[in-house]
Amino acid sequence: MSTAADRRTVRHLPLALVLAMLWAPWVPLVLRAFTDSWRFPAVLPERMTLRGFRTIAAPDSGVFEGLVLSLEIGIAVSALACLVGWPAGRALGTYQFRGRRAVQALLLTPVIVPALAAAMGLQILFVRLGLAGSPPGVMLVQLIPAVPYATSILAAGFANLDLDYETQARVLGARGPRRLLAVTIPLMRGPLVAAAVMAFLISWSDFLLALLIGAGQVKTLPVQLFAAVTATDTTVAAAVALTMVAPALLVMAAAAGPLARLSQANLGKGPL
Amino acid sequence: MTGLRAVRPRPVRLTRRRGGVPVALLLAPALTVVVVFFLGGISYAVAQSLGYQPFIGRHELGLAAYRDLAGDPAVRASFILTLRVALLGTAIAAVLGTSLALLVHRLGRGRRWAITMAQANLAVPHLVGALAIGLLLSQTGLIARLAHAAGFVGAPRDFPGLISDQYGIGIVAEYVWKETPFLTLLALNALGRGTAQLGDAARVLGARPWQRLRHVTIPAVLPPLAAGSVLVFAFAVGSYEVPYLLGRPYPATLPVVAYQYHTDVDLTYRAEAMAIAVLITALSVTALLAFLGLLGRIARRPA
Amino acid sequence: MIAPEAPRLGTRVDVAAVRKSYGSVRAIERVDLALSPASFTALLGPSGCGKSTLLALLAGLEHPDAGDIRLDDRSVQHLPAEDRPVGLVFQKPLLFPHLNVLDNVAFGLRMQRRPRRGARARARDLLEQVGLADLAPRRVGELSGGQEQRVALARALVLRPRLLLLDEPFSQLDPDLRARMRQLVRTLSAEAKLTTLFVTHDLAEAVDVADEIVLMLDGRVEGQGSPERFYQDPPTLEAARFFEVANEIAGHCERGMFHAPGLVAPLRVHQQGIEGPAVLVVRPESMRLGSIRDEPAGISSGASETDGLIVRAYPLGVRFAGTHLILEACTDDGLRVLAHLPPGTTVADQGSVQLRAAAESCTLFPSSSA
Repeated sequence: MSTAADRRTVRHLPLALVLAMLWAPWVPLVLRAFTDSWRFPAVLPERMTLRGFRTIAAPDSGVFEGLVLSLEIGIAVSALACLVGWPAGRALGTYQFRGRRAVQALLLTPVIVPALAAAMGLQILFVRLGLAGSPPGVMLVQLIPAVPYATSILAAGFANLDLDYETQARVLGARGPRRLLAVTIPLMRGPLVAAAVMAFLISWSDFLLALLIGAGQVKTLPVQLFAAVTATDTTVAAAVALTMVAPALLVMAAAAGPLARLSQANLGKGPL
Repeated sequence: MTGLRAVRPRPVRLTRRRGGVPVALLLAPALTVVVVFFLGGISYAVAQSLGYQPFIGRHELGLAAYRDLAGDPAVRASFILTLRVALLGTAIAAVLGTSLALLVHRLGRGRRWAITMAQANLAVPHLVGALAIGLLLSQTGLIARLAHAAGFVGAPRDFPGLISDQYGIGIVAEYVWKETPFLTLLALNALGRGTAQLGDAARVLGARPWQRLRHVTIPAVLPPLAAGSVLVFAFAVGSYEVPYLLGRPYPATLPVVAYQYHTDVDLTYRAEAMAIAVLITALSVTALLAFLGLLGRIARRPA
Repeated sequence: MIAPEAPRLGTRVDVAAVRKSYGSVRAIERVDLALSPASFTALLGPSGCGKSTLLALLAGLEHPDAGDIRLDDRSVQHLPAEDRPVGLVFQKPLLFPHLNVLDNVAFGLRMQRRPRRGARARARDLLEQVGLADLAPRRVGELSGGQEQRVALARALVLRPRLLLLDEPFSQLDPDLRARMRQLVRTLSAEAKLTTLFVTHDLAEAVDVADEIVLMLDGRVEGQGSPERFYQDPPTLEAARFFEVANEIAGHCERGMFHAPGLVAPLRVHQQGIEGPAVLVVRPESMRLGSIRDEPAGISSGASETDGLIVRAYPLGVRFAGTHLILEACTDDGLRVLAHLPPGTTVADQGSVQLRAAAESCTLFPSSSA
């Protein structure tokens, strides 16, 4: 006999399967982070432990320094990308000018074309300039993918911004910087938050650019995680992985509103 | 009310710049980053691939590195593997993403919840994804253990090698896992924009459910999905950590080989490393151009 | 399911005891409706009154909880939207963005697997009829709002529907373009002898376009009839209000007489069966200005009844409204009365005036319905 509930279950079975597939890898990752011994055929861990997280917190592990370094670089990249992207976004979103489409296309290429070749090409120059192996060098090279994203998000924001608000503010006597602070930035808060979050996540997730330009000297959290994974201490690696995911999810959740409104206007994967 | 009514999107307002800071100045910082670092970096990579390597005293230009590349069996195997893994990962993620979007879209009350569930992986770094997929699919991974518990396999070696295998199954799995939510999001966005109303219009004109899927839903989802797929493909071609962790040392994907040559103590390998990086760039540019061409074709296609 | 030949005489449409709720929200309380063959009817009502739901039910996009919908006495209840011989033009054009103009119009025929060549030829005919033959190869994004709706109209007509439904189709167009579009719809509908139902919330539009008006309020049909009937003899107080009968005088009826404060004398009631509390409605354009000199002898000295309406009021102001003046006045009891007066009329700004209306232009409603 088939009841309505049965039919509903069957109808939603494909959806449940796909969602389960997307969530399945979390199960072993989370379990592993808290597991000391988990020999083959055991389905569930034999002994739970906090060793992974204790190792991370230990002063000599380097993971904590990596976390701080990644945060610093991420925030710097985010701030710089927004600073650079704001005027460009304004130009692209608000004004009609010759070559606008060409500029848009040019700014879009780093979104699509991997930065691998650019970073490899730059590496030797950065060595000459003393930027290789230093956090500022890594930061600069991470701007390559971050700036186009921030610019396109802000450009979409400016395109939706009703300029009459600025005119109104001007009529009410708000001058340049005042007007920017009192009217334009508050009105652009959503796109600005979205641009900042995207730029931060690009930096936060980046491994290859930090590896190429950092040359093993700039030990960001992804570099630490890569080392932990290849060092085959899986417990520590899983714990570092969770440490790396948590801030990303927090930032995403905090900016859920502005990010949801991004939608189509900003084609691009970025860190996603 | 039934979905018979909706708001018109506000048109983008563009004005001519009058007075104030010139547009060129507004664009200058962003263009500097892109032109100097990105295009400059790529140009310098091209120059190095052609043999311009002043730091080791080489200045003569030539196509030697590319000839070496063509003759290098490791690179040829790598090229095929990279292309296969990227195409397979993109195609599966596109199909799964579209299906997931359609499944989620027809939900009633549970839709918001399902969307959140489908998107939770969006912000997860690929490095973490590679580790998690390894722990799930390896011969001692969770699935192998479940298979053992169910009596399908005895020892780890009985379980099919999905990680570090010759086909790159683990790599494809990670791409699919990470990119399906991204493509789902794009497809859902496309579905959200009035597709239901267009579906009603088609229904009144006699279109049956599968005709509506074919003539309304798919045309609406296809352009953003194709655009997203290009991004996924270009990313997959240039990804380093995922194939490094989930693939074999030989054949390895192009970025892995490029990095290996790039860091080789023998500096003469550098030119070849640059040539591989240029090849990766060329692959993603080709994908982009193919997409743009396709978009033009779709736009002009009759019913 | 669509007849090979267009029906010659038009189709009769019957909606019988239809109800529709969404969860606990009742969209259509109960609707009975009959559209005679080849008639042009406006379905008029404020937003949220259920008119779009009724359209969706007629088109088969929604299914009624109860009741029946018949075309020429054959129920179409079991037919899904794709099989009903009903054309629908939405408020938005909803042209398929990936198809050009011609293929949009040919869409319905292609869904029936008609050969492309024939479908396009027929679509071209329809585009000719709506005056857009030149635009056939254009992309739909290049059209203006009026052109879009003309394409949508051609697209609906290409299948030779027996009933044409239009859901506020021109509400997003400029006023004078709207008038021309209404004319076009009327012409096309008459040529094809189509039974047509035109939904609108705009009174002027309904009066302009339709032979007959169905007024819908709060999920119910409030009345059906010619525009004149709604103006001169509104079926209910709510209908009177919707048709902008601005003057309402509350009072009560007793033994054939209507009493109300502000009336110079009770009014003889011509309508049957009204007793107790009642509301008298009268259009401002039916009011005229009386003066003490006009008064039949005896009224000012306390006559027992009058045959027309006479109200004593204090003028508050006069506004110029192009073709007439609008006098706003107030009775001793604070009741506001409007009167449309011929241009050039002078109104004394001191003291009171008398406002009169013929008995035929007054309608009484029992006020339990208020």
